[in-house]
Amino acid sequence: MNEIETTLLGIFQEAIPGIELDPTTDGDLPLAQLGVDSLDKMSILLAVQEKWDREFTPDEIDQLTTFNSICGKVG
Amino acid sequence: MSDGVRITALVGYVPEGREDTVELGAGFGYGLDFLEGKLGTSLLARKGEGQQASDLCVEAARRLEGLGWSLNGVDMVVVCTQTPDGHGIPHVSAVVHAKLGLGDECACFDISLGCSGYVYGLSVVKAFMEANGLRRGLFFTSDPYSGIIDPADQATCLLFGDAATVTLLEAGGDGWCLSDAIFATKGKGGDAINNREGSLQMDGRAVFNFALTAVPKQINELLARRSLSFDEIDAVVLHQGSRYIVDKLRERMKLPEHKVLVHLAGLGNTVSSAIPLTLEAVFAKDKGLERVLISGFGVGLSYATGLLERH
Repeated sequence: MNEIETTLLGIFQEAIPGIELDPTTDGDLPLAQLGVDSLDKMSILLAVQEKWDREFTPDEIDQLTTFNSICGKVG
Repeated sequence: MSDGVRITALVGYVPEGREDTVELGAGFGYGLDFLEGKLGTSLLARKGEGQQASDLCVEAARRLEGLGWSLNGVDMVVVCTQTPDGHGIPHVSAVVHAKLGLGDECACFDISLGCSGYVYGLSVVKAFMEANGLRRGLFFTSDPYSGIIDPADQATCLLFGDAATVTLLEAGGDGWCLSDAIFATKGKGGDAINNREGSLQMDGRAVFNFALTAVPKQINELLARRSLSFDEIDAVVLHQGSRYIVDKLRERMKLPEHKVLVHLAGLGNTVSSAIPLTLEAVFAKDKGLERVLISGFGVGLSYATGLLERH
């Protein structure tokens, strides 16, 4: 895992304690399939925005549906 | 000038009706675990057919009387609502004044605020009473949002419940004093919660981001200027937007669970009544509290934090 993936994994784990997520195999799975609901996604994206000082537009947020897509947005 | 004004009684009124949201939630793909674990309830309080904001206030006042508090000598009535009777004229406080049969020498006005309204209202009522030598004030919150909810709107239809509260403030009485408060507004983001053509609309993400970034800073600012730490606060009563938002705010501020009550079961988000209903529950649970923080945030985007101290 690169630095961004490691940091993002930490954000996922903080937002959803106990989440089982291996970015190398699960990175392209839909977030819902990882047990991430709409509220968890809000929490994760807020942490991402704060960490990387980014602001996502509503259209961008709609497209952030996987772990890898979020990585790609901040990488 | 009157003596210091304090809260001497606080009573909520929750209508008997309940809307079970399990079926509605399933239609959006949400199970019971989401409704209760994340939103905080699968039962929303619902007013009776034909009940309006003033009727809920009157029910709250009758409960206050039922607990032995007289309404004699009440010289101020303030109602915080954004869902007034009819089209808002006359103001709800005047309607409540009439329905309670209060005397003519009584100041009445409404405050138009949502979820931050209780903190603002307490400050306004306290200051108005102290400035004008008033002795007994009734501060109501009443927002029957069910009248403006679109049952097909996923962002709002699972969240809001109807309720009202009344807070009795008296000059010179023993009770809780609002000893400090901070008020703020991010008006540019205010469209995130709006009522267009009679239907509530909410951008949940914008409200969530606003709350999680602005509220902890404001709470910490109040603590800093009072030279207080969270250890010296007995309870933190947050606006009950949803269980998730209360939990996330608590986690951000690194507060222990026992200090931050979640009070949503069988209620839902009752807007301006959420803080006083939670306070009522906190006071009932622990009679030994001395210092409580209250913080409301929402429509506006308005946010306010107050410090209540027992005197």
